[in-house]
Amino acid sequence: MLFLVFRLGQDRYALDTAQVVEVVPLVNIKQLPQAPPGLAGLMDYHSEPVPVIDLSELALRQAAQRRMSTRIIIVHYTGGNGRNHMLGLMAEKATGTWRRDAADFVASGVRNDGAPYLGPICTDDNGIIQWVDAQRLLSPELRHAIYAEQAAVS
Amino acid sequence: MNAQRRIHDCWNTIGVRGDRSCPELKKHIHCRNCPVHSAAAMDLLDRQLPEEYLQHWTAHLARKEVEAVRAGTQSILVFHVGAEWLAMPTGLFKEVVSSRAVHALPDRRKGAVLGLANIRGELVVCVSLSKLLGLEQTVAKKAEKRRISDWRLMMIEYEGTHTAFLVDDVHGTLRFHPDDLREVPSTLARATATYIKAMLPWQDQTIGILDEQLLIATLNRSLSLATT
Repeated sequence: MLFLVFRLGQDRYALDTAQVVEVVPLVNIKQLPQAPPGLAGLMDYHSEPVPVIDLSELALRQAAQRRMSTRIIIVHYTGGNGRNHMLGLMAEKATGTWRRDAADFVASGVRNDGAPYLGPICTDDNGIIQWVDAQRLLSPELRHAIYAEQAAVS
Repeated sequence: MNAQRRIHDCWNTIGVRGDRSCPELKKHIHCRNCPVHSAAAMDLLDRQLPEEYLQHWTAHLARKEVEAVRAGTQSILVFHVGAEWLAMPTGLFKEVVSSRAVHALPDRRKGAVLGLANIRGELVVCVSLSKLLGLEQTVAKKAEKRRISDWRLMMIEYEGTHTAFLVDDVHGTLRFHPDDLREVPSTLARATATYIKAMLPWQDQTIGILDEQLLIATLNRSLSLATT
């Protein structure tokens, strides 16, 4: 399997590339007033509004740095009603891919109810990489906020 | 800009662009394989955003995607036989090679089958498309003008069998949409017309698209007659 590697703080995380539509550079994001933490705003993706989640802010409560290596990963996201949406994930140091077997990952052994998107882990020469499931990224609160927004836009 | 100054460009001094004295070179062969080099590349990617970067990419991504190719296009390989431009689906072709010695088969010196040619160690039946399509005369007339070095053997694979066609020249591949195809004029009564399933206008020429099924079927029939 091919993974896209990014960082949250100092640690590395991997996203299954099958979920990824495209990795795009950082763009201007229209902020949404009173949005819940983690929801950075909306971006214009080929004339379509796509909600953008700031992964750093979502996980570490610290906005992603505005640097060249910070990119927006556009992923497929299936909403609660089974509809397919696109979702932008702003991630730091999203600069590399990494090939590993799904079987190489082992359960982290730590239960983290606050972050259900964190999956099993795998180690390489540079340390531990944790699998992130984009599908489980949004809390019910965020999902409600985003899809209510989407309905208002379209 | 500070980040750029910090980068220690060892590849320019002791690496492949310098005097090659770096001991790591033995292990990595080239600087591009060395972790120091890739770490420097990462540093470059980690710069502050240049001015107008956000503006540029925001405008670029906001643009609607233009469809680069029409859906449902097909690819053909276009070649030249005598005065005719002909084509067959690209997927059929295994290889196009320069013309080479063809070993004639006894008692078969008159038909379209020229003999056997050696293509990568495999003996392949070699067929003259001009003879098969009845374009002999034009070829004879043009033969003096055309250099033999332009001749090509096109090896195609059809139902597991390889056959090579000798043609005067190969132009290359072309994409077209089935909507652009024209019917073969009914006034065209030559032998060629039998094997052409459609015509495609292209620049100021017309390309005849060959019916590969019919072509191969005819060929196999004549070959099996020869062997029985």
